[in-house]
Amino acid sequence: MLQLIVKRLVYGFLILNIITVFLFVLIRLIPGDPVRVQLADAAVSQERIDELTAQLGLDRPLWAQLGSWYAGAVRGDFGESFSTGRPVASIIIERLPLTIELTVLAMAVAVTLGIVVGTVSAVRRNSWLDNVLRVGSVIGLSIPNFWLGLLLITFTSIVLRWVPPLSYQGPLENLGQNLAQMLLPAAALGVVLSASIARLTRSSMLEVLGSDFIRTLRAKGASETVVLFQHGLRNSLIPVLTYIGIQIGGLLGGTVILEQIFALPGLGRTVFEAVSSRDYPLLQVCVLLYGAIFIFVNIVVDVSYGWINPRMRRAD
Amino acid sequence: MTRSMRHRTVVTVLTAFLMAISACSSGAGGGNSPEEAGPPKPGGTFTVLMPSDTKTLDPHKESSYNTHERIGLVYSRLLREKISPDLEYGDIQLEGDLAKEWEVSDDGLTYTFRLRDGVRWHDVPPVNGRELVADDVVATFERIRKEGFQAGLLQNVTDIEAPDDHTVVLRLSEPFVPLLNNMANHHMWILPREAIEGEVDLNTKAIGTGPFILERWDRDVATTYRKNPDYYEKDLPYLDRVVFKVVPGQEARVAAFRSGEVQYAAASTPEEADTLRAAVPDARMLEVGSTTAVLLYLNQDRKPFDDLRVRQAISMALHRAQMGKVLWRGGKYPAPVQQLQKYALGQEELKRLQPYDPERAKRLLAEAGYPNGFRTKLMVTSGYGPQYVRQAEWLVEDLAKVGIRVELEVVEYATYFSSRWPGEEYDMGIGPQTPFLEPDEHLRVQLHSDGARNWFNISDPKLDKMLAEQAKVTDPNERAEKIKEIQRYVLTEVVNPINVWDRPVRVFIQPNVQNNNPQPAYGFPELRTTWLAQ
Repeated sequence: MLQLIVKRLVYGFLILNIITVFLFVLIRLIPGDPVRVQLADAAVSQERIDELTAQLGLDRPLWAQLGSWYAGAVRGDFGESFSTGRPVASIIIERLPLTIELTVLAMAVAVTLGIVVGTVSAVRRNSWLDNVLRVGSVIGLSIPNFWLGLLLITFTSIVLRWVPPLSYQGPLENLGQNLAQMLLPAAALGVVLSASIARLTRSSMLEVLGSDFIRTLRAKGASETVVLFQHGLRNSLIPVLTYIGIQIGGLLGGTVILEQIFALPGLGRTVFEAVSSRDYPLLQVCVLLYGAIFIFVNIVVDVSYGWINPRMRRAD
Repeated sequence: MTRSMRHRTVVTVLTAFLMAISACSSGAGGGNSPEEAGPPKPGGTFTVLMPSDTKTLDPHKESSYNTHERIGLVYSRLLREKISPDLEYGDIQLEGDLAKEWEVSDDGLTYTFRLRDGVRWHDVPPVNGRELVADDVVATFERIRKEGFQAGLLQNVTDIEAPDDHTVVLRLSEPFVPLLNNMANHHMWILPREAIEGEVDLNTKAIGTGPFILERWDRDVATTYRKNPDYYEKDLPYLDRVVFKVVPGQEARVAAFRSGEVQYAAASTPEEADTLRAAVPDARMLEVGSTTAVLLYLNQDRKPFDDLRVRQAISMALHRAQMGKVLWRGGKYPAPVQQLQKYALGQEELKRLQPYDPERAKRLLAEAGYPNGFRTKLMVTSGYGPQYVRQAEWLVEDLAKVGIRVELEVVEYATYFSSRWPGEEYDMGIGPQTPFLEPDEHLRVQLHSDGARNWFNISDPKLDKMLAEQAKVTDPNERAEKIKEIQRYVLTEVVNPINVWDRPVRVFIQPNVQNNNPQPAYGFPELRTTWLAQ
């Protein structure tokens, strides 16, 4: 088990370094110039532009820039944002909690809705309710989450005459307002993801319910509740859990657009703006962080899979 | 995919947030005179939605509208545009802001400004409400000359002095008539000396003499201002508070306007206007000319755009009137200096100078050696919203009718603005004109062969001479005539950038907003006199 974890961590570290270098080169390859973006409206002489470019260190060769980035990074110094001059690390510490909160809330919506719908569908398989839920989840699968977000915001303002409060407040400042602001984006992300969870839960549960040990359980007279929930649901959740873990990456991606739509100052919006303003140092660390979260979640999924399913432990 | 979310500025599909350049470039408001609703009533909060936040509050670092819209309530200038219900949008009349009177010597080489007495800085440490002195103005201008992007506005200035606490004297090496207008430019805010000497972090703080005091700035969330109780104009401002909130999505902005949470919302397309009208049926709609005409610009370093006849043919191929009707549902014939009324050419003349004549366009192309037209590429960015892409598609169709086969190339905003356009890596491009407040700022910078933003490779000795001359004409009317003459020349003999259309910007204002009379300047100067009924 320990060996498995160590091995995964080493791989993860290597992958992170590959991402770092790849990203570093890639963001400098896309056309666009951070200095000119900053001075977009102004008539500035070429000398001034060269001066600012030198100040940002962008006149140095690529390998030298990468070298100093690494030299800083190992000391925990990720540089300063081009556009605001603030340390990248503090921007991220400020922005990350919102994105994590949004992801967790969306996940809660997705898991609750997905598992309930999937279970109901499986238990009442081929009934009209099952058919309705299955059609519903196909629709859910086909809707992009940002589109659902736009529909929700328009719908609630017209029909319910309610709009989420506009100025973001953290959960510690004002929990009620914070949740009101998170409600729609979390729903938009969560509902879309719940569709695939529901389908997976349904098929997995049907498979479990059709297996021999369930027949044995029923034969020895276990109540239907015990059969369905204590044995059926629990066993059918193993693939669902793995799937949920993998989907965290997808959810993080969704936050980039939804934070933009719902005016939430999280990491997603930071990425969006860092791309637009060619803020290389900020973009580098943000994307790297997404990569690290993704890798970390995959390691956790791998390891927990072994933990949930003892057969997997020996296989490694 | 962000397209569906909306727009610009800039920022940019990731460009979505740029869309509202126009939406925010100067805000807008209704021309209700106070008489209609009784005497002004103090109090209330005015909320403005912006598509993106500023990166810094330092007025000399960023030229972005995002920065200057936010600091305009805090700082003052030496001069400013008059705000009045009697002035039309774009009719810019100068009046004193910090300066109470000013004088230009007969040779045009000395400008003397007398400052108002008893103007106090905001009561915020380390300035603590001390009196404004001429030294503050000198320090500000020196910093601009040293490191400000707006240094060009102080062209030819050799000396800045403060002979006493209330007098500022600027000496010039040669006459530069735009200087006076430039003192009212929305980039020329006066800062306290303490700030320039490093006692205030200008990136995050702004202490000025303006009508509102900056209370807090939560990055990417909101900027909050409260009334300056010691503002030098008695009884002003009326509003207790102004809040700028950052809301990137147009849908969220419409929803907030519908709920009455914000006082106004701008529509950059007719469709957005329909949505807003339906959202708040009793809102007032104000149609202001945009400060940013649509430009179709040509790279004269590349063939065949070096040939005037080709450029003329392109302009003649555009069915402007039809396009305005269908695409923008309104608007006007455009000109290089459209939004400054004093220098603007009349609509009839502009129509005559920019005729729709596809037959003559074909003949001109044939004369230039392209009887069968040619192939080329048109660069457009989605960063200004989908409407610009549609606009580009319209032009492609019009040009096809005279044999110019155009391939449309959609690029991301930062690529467009920071690389392809200034790098002159394009055949044709389309985008909005950057707003400006002094014709010289625009004409010389963009059209002169040495202009810092002549990214079109225009090189016309006659035009250069005309551009240099207008800056030396001291009589305002004579100068206005010269500038009109330059525009006629640009529209017929330079024909680059081609002015496509002056699109309308429609602004919706909640019914309770009074005395809100915007002008095309950053910084929301109209909020000084705006008040809320009810």
